[in-house]
Amino acid sequence: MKRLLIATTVVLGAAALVTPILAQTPEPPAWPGGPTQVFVSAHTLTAANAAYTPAVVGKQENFFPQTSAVRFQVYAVDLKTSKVVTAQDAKYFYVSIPNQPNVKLTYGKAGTGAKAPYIWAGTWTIPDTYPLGVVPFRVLITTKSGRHGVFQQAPVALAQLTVIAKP
Amino acid sequence: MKPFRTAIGATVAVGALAALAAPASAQAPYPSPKVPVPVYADTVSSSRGDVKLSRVCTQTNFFPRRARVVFRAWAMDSTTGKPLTSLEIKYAYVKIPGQPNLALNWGTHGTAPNQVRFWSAAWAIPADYPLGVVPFRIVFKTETGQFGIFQQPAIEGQQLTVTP
Repeated sequence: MKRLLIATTVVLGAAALVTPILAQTPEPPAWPGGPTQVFVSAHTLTAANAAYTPAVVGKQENFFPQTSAVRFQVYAVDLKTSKVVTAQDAKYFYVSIPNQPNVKLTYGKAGTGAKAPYIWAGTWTIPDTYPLGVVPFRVLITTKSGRHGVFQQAPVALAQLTVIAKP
Repeated sequence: MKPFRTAIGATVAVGALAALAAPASAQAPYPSPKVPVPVYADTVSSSRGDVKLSRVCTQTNFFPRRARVVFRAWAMDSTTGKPLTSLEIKYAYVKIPGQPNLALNWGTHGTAPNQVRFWSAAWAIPADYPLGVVPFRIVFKTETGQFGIFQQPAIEGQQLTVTP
């Protein structure tokens, strides 16, 4: 009986010590964090320019060689109204890239055909000398009603916009 | 006075008809004018599968048969302005034509100390899956009964595409 009591005491003691430690281990945050006023979604697509033509234009991609063009395609939703932000609603909407001028997004028809949707887009031509590696860009919006939103890439290294050496 | 009233009536009627007709011809925003539960989604390559792409875990929308497509997604709660986690979602899945629905899992991604959590699911493309565009949909249903639906814009070159 004494042994059983000792064993029980040890188990309970260990549980009492371990439980707070486990409880203190924070869960990774839910992406993209928040709270935010305006939801922003952005994708990077291949595009052709004078210096470089990718094998497929308009393809989703996150590895881009120096001198190539990155096409940002973006949409935003004001969470208060659930309305998609259009050209009438946005005060500022741009891509912020480290050590580069902001890339202004414009609202226009994407694709061809009568039913082609309207979406925000902007193009960045990667300078010849831009540093290789991950580009932690952000897409920022301020609406005319003064509401803000931001898009940041999920911090998964290989899935982020990355500049590689030109071929 | 009567012709004037008639003219006004006709003008109002024409205006109303024009307003009704407007959505079909005017600027149709992607994904739709109103979005109760906005969703981000993309597709990345997998390190698993019978056929592996040259780079793993990178964004692409072209996948050969027998490769694995990893769908990544997150959705936003309009009332709180925060991401929807497994606590707020009743179900979440990817609907792929000709395939069983693929449940999205809430999980941890990335490497410490920069790990984050979002939704994902992997799809092994069958060897006989039809070539071409895969018009998949991602569906979230919240515990409060709201739906979030993601569909890629129907733009050439941008949609998930199965290649030989």
